[in-house]
Amino acid sequence: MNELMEEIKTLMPKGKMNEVNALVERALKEGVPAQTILQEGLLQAMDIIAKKWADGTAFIPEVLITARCMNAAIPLLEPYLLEEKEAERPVVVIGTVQGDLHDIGKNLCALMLKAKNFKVIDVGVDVGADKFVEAVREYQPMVVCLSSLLTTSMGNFKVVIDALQEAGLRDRVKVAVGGAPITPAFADEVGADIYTEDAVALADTLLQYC
Amino acid sequence: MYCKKENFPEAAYLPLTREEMKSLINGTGTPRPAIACGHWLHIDELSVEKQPVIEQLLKKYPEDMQVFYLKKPSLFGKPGDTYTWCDVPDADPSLHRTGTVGIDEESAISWDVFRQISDYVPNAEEPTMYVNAPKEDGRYRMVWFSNGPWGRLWDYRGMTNAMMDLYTNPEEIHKINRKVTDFFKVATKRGVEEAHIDAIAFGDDLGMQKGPFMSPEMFREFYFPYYKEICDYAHSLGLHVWLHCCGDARLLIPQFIEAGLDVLHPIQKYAMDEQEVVDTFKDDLTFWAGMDLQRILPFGTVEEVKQEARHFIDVFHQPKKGKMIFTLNNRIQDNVPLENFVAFIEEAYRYADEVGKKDRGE
Repeated sequence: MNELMEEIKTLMPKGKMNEVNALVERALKEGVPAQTILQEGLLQAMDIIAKKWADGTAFIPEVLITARCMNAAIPLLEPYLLEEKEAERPVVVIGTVQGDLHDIGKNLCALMLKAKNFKVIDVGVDVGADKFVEAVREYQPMVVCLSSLLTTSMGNFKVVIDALQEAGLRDRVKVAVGGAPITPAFADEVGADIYTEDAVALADTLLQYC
Repeated sequence: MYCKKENFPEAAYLPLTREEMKSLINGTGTPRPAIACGHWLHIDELSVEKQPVIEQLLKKYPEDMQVFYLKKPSLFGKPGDTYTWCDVPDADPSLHRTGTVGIDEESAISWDVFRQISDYVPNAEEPTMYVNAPKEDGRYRMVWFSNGPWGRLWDYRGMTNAMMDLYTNPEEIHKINRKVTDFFKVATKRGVEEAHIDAIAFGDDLGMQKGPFMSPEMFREFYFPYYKEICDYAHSLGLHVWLHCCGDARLLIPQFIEAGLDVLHPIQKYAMDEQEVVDTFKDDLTFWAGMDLQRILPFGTVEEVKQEARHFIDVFHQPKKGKMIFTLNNRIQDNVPLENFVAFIEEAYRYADEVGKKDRGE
């Protein structure tokens, strides 16, 4: 079993999606529990690459290609994963605020959160406050994550936070903000609960709230 | 010294001449640090009340070079278009679909669509390619080619896909790079003949707030050979090559230098330490150093703006050599207060003139 998991972890950062899928299927046939394959294979591989990215020894293409393997393999495990386990996963809603179409930072955060076994609801880019409110109401996340690269759109963090307040949802959800121009002071100013400098730190920080 | 007054009747400070700019870039001296912001200033995108004030300001403070766009091939042409990067009828025309900036995978095209693109577009023999070239007025002339090979991949595929493509579709990426490089080379030659250019420029955003998107090894495999080919060709025609690269690209700068790039923009504050970059690369690069647009210009006070303008000139200008052109670090947004922009321009020119006089012992 360990050899299979090690092989999965070796192949994922190389983007070997078909080979990883074959190994996952083999592991299932050999009776390895789906939860073990997920935790000790796929998520560990993501964790390793995330740490390498954080310390500057890996780069975004490696992170994304590893995540691509993870995303392709998870559907193979899903029929075997217990439903009650799914229900226990903490939910995060994430999106880029209105006025900004940049998605790479938001996507990286979503990947890192998935790698920590959060259930991530990605509402996309250029997202208005009403859509965030709707998503919070529907999915009841633990945290809503707002992203902005542009200085012209980062003011919309406050618009979303105010809309959550107005909808009576603000007390039920933490708000995290991030993006290249964002500072801790700005996060405080708009009334956010959480600011982190990058995607790895976001995932680590949100774990503390679980 | 300086351009003729008759071409700039309202100028408070006459621009540098073409030869003075070349000397500044080559590190053989300059009357003062250069200033050139116009490329990053799209007045029509600013509030109506700001526009006449800035137009008047630029007459008083003309920039030290003429920068103009090559007529851009469209991202997606209509069927039959030849001056386009993509002539496939079912390609998604929604790319860059709004006024806001951004490239995402929702608007990307598939490799199946990419493979249908004609080998003959964009047509580098397009007669109107240099229609935007302004009349010569004695200043250094640079043509802006828009996206380089990496940016072109984004345009086709969106950023997230583009980065995975480096692993999954290497051959297609080399095809894009070849197409962009060949187009740039023809456009470079035509620029010399038709517009008497001194430099070519292109933008490839390879940096993030922390570190580059890709590893130095990956840059060397995919982009270094094409950058070098573009630089070698431009140099063979006596031109400089300028690169715009957002974010922290410190790990890639040695390869930019090795490829032959002459000028780098913007040395993005808060992503890179400007003093460290100058200390490390000042002998090998000239800096088109950009005033910060993430914090200082939009949210700072007038005094903070002036202080930063002086600080940038102090950090980047090299007495007896030059090697610094002052500018904005990206396209200015409407959230920059008018008084901050005016203060930036006035202080930059005043202090550049003071520094120039000090260098000459005046």
